[in-house]
Amino acid sequence: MPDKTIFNKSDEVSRRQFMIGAAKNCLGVSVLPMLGATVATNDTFAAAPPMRRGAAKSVIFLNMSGGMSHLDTFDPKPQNQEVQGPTPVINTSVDGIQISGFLPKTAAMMNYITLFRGMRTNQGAHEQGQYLLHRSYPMRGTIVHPALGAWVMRLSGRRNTTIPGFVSVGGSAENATGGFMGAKYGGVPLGNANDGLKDSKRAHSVSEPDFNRRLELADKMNTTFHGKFKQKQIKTYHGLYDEAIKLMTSEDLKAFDLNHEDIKIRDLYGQNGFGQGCLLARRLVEHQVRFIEVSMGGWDTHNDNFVSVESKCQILDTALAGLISDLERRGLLDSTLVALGTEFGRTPEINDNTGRDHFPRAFTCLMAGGGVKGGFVHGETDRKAHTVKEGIVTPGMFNATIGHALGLPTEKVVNSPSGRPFTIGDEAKPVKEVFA
Amino acid sequence: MMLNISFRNLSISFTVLMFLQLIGLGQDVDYKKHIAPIMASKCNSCHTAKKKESDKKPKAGLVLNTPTGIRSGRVLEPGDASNSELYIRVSLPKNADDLMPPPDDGSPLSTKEVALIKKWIDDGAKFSSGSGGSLGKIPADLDARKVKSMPAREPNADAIAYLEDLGATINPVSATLPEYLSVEWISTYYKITDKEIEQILHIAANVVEADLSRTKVTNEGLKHVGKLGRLTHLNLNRTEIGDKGIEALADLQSLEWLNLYGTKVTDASMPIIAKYRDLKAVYLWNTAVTSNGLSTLRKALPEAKIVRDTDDRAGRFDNLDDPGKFDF
Repeated sequence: MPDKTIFNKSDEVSRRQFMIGAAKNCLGVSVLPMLGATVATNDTFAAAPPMRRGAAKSVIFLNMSGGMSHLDTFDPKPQNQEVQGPTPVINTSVDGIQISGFLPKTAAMMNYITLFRGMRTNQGAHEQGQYLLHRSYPMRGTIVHPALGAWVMRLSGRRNTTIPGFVSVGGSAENATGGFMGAKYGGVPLGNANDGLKDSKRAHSVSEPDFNRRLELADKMNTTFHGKFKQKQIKTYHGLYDEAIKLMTSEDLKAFDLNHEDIKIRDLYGQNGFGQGCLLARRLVEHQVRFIEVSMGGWDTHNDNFVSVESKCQILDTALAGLISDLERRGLLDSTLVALGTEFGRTPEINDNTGRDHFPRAFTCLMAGGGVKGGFVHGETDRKAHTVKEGIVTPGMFNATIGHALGLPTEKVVNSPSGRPFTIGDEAKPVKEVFA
Repeated sequence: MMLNISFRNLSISFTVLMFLQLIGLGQDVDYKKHIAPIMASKCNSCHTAKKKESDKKPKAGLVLNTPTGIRSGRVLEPGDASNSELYIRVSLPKNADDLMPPPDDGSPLSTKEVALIKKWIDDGAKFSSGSGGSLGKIPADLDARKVKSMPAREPNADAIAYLEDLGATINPVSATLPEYLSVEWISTYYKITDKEIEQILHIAANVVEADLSRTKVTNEGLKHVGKLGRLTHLNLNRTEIGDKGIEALADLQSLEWLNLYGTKVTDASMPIIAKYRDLKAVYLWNTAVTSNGLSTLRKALPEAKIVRDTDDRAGRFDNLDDPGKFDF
């Protein structure tokens, strides 16, 4: 059962818990509780056409949680051994761009990638940094800002109305929040890619005729109940049944099941949580899911930075290169933006534990596909990777750029329930130079 | 599931039956003729899409003045009125809280109107006039050149409604180009055959992007697609089509993007593809196309992106001691 705390902040939790219990007990099945978000009200949102032709249709956001070291990944300083440490540096498929030797497969894909080497944030702690990265606004006690995926849902809607439009794999449930926009714009958090949509199938012990008979029976009882208690909330419970049943019998459900993938493809992404999350993301893109986040933790390398980053990079390198190449050969890369973000970089100075500490002043994020240039570097740090010399990009600008890739109206103001105005990138403008 | 066991439902069913006989509702209920006027007079004062920013929001976010709004509002269970919110809410007893229109601010629907809505939903809640017959016959001599010379006027709303009834998703390619459309079969691809695909020809002058991936389209069906002279994007991945089908696409000279991965095309198709002068990208992964076929294509279209596989590129660097500079 997914984490109970997920929706504790929402008053809908009791309803969902009720639903899960009822469905489990009465029907021999339990349904994905988060689905409730999509039937919470009748207020659905059909897809809106993009602002310009040829905009991307989906985003895969790779969240490097913990603060990914820029020096040891995408912004090495081979001329400056003192800050570079033992991390090797290699050439890439693009002349003049070098990256860390821990990322050889990604280096071969550099002709598809734009590096943002001028990232800067004003948050030096993980929670606050992750918050700003996902929501473009700093954390405040008085409001919960929606995550980027919720903005995408709000500004463009679902393309496939059978399954959720916003899915978050392997990260904190916070990353999938609808914030002040409400649960219906929030994402479905999945713990583990290999589990797929948990409990969304008929239990083996219940045969199909039995299942249908139980549904009928439940329906019969409900008819009387609905007649007696005509309340909106009860109708919504019923809607949840319908939505869940629609999903259980849907072709689209297969998107969530990695068992449909050949072992060779599963290996291409790497047989680990993050790799398989990226594979799931590709499957969801094929089913027109708008926004998929896949998280990878463990980048907080205060100790033993070089050993840790190398092992993290092995996973990232295989997954990222696998994802880009797999999207490209299926013809999906032009319409899918792959964005990789992290909350901050790490100090150029190596500390006493051969580690690196938090460094918000300069770090690197990247994008591939979705209409961005390949083999392009935006922004530059100084010779010690210490400060951004040119091309500063804030998390808000990065998010506005993602919005622009999707053809969203990035300047569109959405008011919170209390009437305060917000935009997808906290009024930041997209970095248009990175688009081909 | 449809056991109308309560007395209320029984009595409604009975009245409905009576009215069906009284008004001679043996014939089809038509959305435009019968349903839209009911919506306009009884529902749309609250449930109407915003036309400009200053308009008031549709109540409950529910738009009932357009087929798209009604479709996406989750108020329909086509074929089953008794499970459709749209019917349930207008057929509740007079004093029920949830009755629509709200009892205190408007006249409820007449029994005849309720009967019409019920029959319309039970008959499948089609927004077009049934079989598409009212759209007229697709001219037999239509071809890509003719289509390209036709003006792309505002697309035929009836034809769009008809295609949506057939499971298609149709959208303008951008907010600024409302007359240029993309046609996709998003959750319905697995049941789409040549028959449904032929119906795209009703809006031939407007269609610039078509996604037929994973449908049951055949080489024969591509003869219809070959008439869509304005197509710039065509996605046929994981369909059964082969070289015979590609032959039928020879006149699509505006094509810029062609996805053929997982199809049965071979080198024999390359000369036709080589003639698409505007082609920017073609996808041939998991086909029988050989290196020879690829080089023919690369010679003819030096600027185009020709993708057969990128997998081996990524893998090739696994065992290199010194990755150095990569040769692409």
